[in-house]
Amino acid sequence: MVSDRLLHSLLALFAALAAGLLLLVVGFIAQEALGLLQQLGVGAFLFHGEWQPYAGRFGLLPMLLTSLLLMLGAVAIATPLAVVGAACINFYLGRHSAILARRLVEIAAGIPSVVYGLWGLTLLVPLLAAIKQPGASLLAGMMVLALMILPTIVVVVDAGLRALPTHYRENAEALAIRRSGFVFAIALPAVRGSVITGATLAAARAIGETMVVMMVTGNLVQLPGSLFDPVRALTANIALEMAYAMDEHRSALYVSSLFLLLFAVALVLTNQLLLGWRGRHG
Amino acid sequence: MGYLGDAMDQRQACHEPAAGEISLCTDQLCLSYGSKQALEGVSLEIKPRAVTAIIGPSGSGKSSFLCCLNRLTDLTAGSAVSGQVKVGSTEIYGTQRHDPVQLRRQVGMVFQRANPFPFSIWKNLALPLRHHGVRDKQQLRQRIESALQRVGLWDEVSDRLNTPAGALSGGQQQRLCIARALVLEPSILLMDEPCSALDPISTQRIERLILELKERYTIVIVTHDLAQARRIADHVALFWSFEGKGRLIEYGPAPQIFHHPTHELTGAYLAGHI
Ligand SMILES: Nc1ncnc2c1ncn2[C@@H]1O[C@H](COP(=O)(O)OP(=O)(O)O)[C@@H](O)[C@H]1O
Ligand SMILES: [Mg+2]
Repeated sequence: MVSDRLLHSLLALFAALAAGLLLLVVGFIAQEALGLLQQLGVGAFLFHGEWQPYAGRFGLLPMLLTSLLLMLGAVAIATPLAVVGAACINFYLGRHSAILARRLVEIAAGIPSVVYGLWGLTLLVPLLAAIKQPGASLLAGMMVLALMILPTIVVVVDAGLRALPTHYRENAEALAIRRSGFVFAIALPAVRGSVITGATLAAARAIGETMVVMMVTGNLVQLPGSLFDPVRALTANIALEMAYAMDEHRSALYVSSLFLLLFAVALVLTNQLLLGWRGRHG
Repeated sequence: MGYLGDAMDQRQACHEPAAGEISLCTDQLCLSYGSKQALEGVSLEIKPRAVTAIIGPSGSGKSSFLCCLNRLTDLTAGSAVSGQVKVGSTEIYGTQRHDPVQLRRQVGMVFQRANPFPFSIWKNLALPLRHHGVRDKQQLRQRIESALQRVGLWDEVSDRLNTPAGALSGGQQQRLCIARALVLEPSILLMDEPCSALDPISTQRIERLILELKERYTIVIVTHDLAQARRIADHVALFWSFEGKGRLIEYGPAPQIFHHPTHELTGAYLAGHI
């Protein structure tokens, strides 16, 4: 078929275009970063805690750690909540409430992150400050990020649950397994792949999120000693300093971007690894 | 002993069960889905440790009847049951809400489409056991092995219990589903057209299995395959739909139904005229 072949070549063209653009971005970042990276060595960035661009010290460790902790914390908070939420929508709500809940979740997934940040800044941060000053902290970042990525995970897990054949439920009932047993022993384990994928997608959003963390984490460059410490994430650092950074400082920010890129790659690989492992043993 | 509890003049169709048998019997059973009545006045007493085949044209309420016997009707919103279903000495639709979990452990069910859960063979069988409190690994292993032995699957899969159940052939999957029902050690097994999606060899395999199982279990099987009913049934019940309402029109020992049917519809149906 001519139209088939045409469509095929069009798709191939767009795919190549997308891949090319991505390579261009990566190449650009790498080019900006490599000079300094070669000059100072990876260790100078990875294993040092001092970020003093004007003194030529570019230790990224505190910010790398902060970004990692923010991501892990947010995913750890959001995933269980999202899984329970998706299970509720599918198995406990009535038909109409379920539809309503799905629309709400979709809306929540589309809210710009700055709105979540604003909410965190005006509501959550003062609340945390009442417990321990200054309020803007690692914990605040984790919580607002968790809220922000929650709908993403719900959407993915919900899609997985909806794709489950309806007869699993009848089979479970016929085996004297009631609803709660069905949900927790059969339905949720059956969509473990969706949970993993949803959590990974959400993790990618969390690690890349800039606005929220800039608004609620306090932006102090330091190794987080406790959940209530103000911290600065890698992304926030780039956004805060790019406007005036020059020369080496500027290159160091590109090195930060490179690390963020590596995070993204690592997430994709982790996802594949987990899914593959599940495929063999699930 | 009468087969049909003739409803008009003889209110009770359910006799006291013989000792050691879990009897199964319905009396004036009616089922409706919302405003649609699917079953009307079905009274029959299932014979223990025998195969009872339920035959009839599609839409005559055969599956619906089966679902009444383990209260799977509870899953369908808007379904309503009247009349009696007695399993053992329990009236399962009785006034004090009877716990369906107890019932369903006694009355297992196998569906038309083999549908193992999307887990390994082992987990498919371990899951219901664990759910009902069997935790001891040794005991799990023993009960899973014996269920697989009973359906003749052990020799075929014992070396790959951890592979996904979905990788088995259709016939193997259906036997796995039978094993899954048996693993809870029910005394009654309901089967809704268990062979209709299978090839002839697998069908034959399952028919042989059913004949073996009737030594220990009371089996009620819905089938649209008259030849199959001839091959495996000890008793046959023919359902018919009158203006959309399913009714039992004839019930008796298989030879009698096949050779000397009393209802004119039975004769016509068996001869393939309808
Ligand atoms: N869940 C349901 N809701 C409404 N009507 C149903 C439902 N299940 C079955 N029916 C109706 O009840 C009648 C009997 O169906 P069924 O028991 O499936 O018959 P059979 O198994 O003999 O083909 C049919 O008319 C069918 O349309
Ligand atoms: Mg049917």
